[in-house]
Amino acid sequence: MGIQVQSLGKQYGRAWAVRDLSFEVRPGKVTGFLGPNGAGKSTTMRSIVGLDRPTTGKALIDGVRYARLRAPLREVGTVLDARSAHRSRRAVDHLRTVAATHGFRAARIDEVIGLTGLESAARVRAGKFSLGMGQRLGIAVALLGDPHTLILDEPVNGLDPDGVAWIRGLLGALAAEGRTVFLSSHLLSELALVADHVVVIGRGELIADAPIAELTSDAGRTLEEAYIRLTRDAVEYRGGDVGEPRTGAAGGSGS
Amino acid sequence: MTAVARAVHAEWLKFCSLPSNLVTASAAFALIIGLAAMLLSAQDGDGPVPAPTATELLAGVAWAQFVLAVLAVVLICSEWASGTSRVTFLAVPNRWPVLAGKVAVVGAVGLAAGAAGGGTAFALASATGTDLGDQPALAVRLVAGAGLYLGAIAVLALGIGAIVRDLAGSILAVVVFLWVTPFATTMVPVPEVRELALYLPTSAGLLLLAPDGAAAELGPWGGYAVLLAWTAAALAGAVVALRARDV
Repeated sequence: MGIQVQSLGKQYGRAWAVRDLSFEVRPGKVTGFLGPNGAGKSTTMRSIVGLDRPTTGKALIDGVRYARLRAPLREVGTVLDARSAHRSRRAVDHLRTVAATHGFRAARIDEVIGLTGLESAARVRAGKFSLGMGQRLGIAVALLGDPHTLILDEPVNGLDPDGVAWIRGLLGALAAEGRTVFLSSHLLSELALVADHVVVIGRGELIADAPIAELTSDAGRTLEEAYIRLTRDAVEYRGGDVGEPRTGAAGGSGS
Repeated sequence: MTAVARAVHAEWLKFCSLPSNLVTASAAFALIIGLAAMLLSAQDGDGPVPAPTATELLAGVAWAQFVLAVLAVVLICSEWASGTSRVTFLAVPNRWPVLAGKVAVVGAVGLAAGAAGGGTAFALASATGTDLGDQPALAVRLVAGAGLYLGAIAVLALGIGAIVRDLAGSILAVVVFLWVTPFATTMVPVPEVRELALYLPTSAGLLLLAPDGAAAELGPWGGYAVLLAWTAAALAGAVVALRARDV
């Protein structure tokens, strides 16, 4: 059970965002999903939940393709973007429109508003939300159906320290209840506090799929060191070295 | 069936929770009665401005259709422009019930704006004692037709929006297809082209709002059937596009 990604490939035009990717996310623990910008993390997540149609392979959640789930929000909660509500719609109305698709009762909307600490913002239009408030609203939507699987793309992005600690506790508690929790993040020290296992991809291909304890003992001391070593050859966008400033006239155009 | 009913409910909540949608829908209604009121107040009995005929009374429908077509396009394209498309299609991964929900909403809004606008216009005429020619059957056809026509045009625009997806591109496509093309073809001096142009959605559909006897060989309901065929074709294309493409 959990999430199975099987030989997943996704081509945009002629470029492969993800190629022949296979891994499994097991229930009862938090699995981190790591990789440099452009590695294909979001594409993989979008394919798992049926927003992208894979070019090859497939992804299953508890053995079923997402698109075949009759009440998907009761099985899977997904946060892909901190800006997922119409900017002119009040947060509570956003939740109501989603709840209507599954016939969730009104009391459940109040519950997730309470769970995510959005009580004072429920009647505010989503366009006025900060990034962190948007994340909370996205998490509220994901929790509406009390799902067994959670898929979160950069959920701590924009959250304040309180929010980061809150989501760490939430995800840990959900995994302890036997649920599947799969989240991507670039904040490795934060991820190391909550995740038990990581899947690392680079250039659309699998680099590592291992418990954090194993990576940090084999490849480096911290998760960050292990990650940088693992993805050394897979970074698409790398910043310049700021150690030696170049003077344009002497060096000509940088080589 | 419940999936569709729930999608309709969700789309109705989406429509009602954005004030701009309600303003736009009201504007369509206001255009119809506003123009009717203007025509009724401008008449001066025996003077140079005659009373409007029953069909002239509903001239505002031709303006209201722009408003409703844009409303329909915004309703679908804003899913992608605002980022809600992911949430929408995560909840309804089958995708087509979302389109069905939006069809129900814009169809009903178009129908209501047209029929209520038309009905109010005729009520205004009778309240001001204007003689529209005493043709009750024609009045019924015009009032019902205003609703049916606007509902169909809104749904057609929705289908085009779902296919094109980009907001500006969709509005351009709708304006070109529904209004520029029929106008431009009248300038082509080839009889066959002009004849075919009668089968364009707006040209054919407006036969439903034409005076008795003035309709071409299609007739008012034949013309409306042609408009419905275009609408069905656009929806079929929209379903295929929604199914095939990434969100």
